[in-house]
Amino acid sequence: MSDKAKEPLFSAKNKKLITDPLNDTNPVTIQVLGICSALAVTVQMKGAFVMSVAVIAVLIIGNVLVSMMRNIIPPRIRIIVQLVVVAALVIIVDQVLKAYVYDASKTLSVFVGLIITNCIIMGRLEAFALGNKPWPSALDGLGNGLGYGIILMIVAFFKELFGSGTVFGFPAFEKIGLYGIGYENNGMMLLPPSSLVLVAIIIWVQKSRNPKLIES
Amino acid sequence: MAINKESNIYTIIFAIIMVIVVGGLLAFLSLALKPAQVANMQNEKKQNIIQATGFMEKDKVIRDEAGDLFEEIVTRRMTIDFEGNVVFDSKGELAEGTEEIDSKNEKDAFNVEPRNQYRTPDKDKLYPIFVCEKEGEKVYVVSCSGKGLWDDVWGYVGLAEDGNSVVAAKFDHKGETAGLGSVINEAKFQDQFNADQGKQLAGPNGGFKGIEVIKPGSRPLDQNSVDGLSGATFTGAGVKDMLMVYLEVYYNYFNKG
Repeated sequence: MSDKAKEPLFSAKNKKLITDPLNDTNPVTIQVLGICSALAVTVQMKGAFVMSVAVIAVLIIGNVLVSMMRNIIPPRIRIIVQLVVVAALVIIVDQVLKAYVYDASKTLSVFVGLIITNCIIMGRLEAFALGNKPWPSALDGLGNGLGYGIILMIVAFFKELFGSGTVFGFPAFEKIGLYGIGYENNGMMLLPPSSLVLVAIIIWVQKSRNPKLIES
Repeated sequence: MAINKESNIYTIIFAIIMVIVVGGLLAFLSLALKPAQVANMQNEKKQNIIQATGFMEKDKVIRDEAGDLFEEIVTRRMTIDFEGNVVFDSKGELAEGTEEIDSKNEKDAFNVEPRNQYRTPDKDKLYPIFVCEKEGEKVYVVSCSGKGLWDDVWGYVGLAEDGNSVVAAKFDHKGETAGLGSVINEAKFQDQFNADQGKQLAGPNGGFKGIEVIKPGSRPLDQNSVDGLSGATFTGAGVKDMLMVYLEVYYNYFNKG
């Protein structure tokens, strides 16, 4: 055991690992990682939610595994090792979904496989898990996963609301009678380009509220 | 013990062990989960076929119960070829003994994967027919497939005993745009094929006319057309094409007498 006093599980430093990615170092809006899936799986909130949960799970488990192996991974093939860990996890998630949560696996179809290419995951493994102990790595994975998930849900909320008039499948616009006064769903909101606009607006709002983030 | 992590030997041994461990794990997982996955897919197919009979509301057909319902409702499975010759029949002269689904017989109507059919040359195409009966009512469920905007679209259509009136339909797709083309597997589109809509394969003057998917509101609907989906022109065209091509073969088979 180390001679240092044991650090509490939720020390200030560890808490920052979770809270920072939600705002100051958000993986999507600040680091601009994982944009691809933020564009593609945000048409419906349900799909975005399952995708967020899947990414959080893969990120936490991947971070912990790589962190546990960090002292034995040969430096020259470390990226390949990370890739194998992530790919194996994603295949496991995909297979388990197909066997036990068939409906969710149909909703996500190819996007589960695309978790492998989500830059956030490789980015966190390389930048954090390789140099830190398993517990902080797990928190880092959770924080970044949540930071990704929040943006995904915000984008999906607006896309689903204005594109299909629903929230989580609930026909919100129909219930308040918006179609009665001549409103029509905006098909553009359902296509990937609208996510770019929404993400840009989120970045704008975030930076205008948080002067720390503005580059000089 | 100091290990030189930079050495070639260490790197290679690490890579070999990693590949064996991960490969073994995934192979084991794949074998262990296979039965559950196959059961899911077969139940979904049975669910879709039963949904296309129109015997009950689509969302009342639960996937996990579809297996039992299928046994109860589907009384005969047949497969015909492009020219209308029967190549498989679970009853009658061509019956090969047991009525159970033989997973190795690729001509068995249940083993015909509708989704792939449109890519095969006409002479090799197989057209499954499921004869469904409930409370004295008889419905033929037939399948069709084609190409949507991004990928395959396919579906099952229920025809009444006259081989002409459409009683229900169940469509599905692989990758149509969510919220636009993907609506073909939702009630908004599918309900247009329900029995109360009175859609028919024959034209008003007899002869096959099929069912056309038209631009919404472009002209009044008749017994041979349904409304397409705005924003999903190509998906609609794909559905229209597959209905035209496939239903004609079935129509000719049922009405050749």
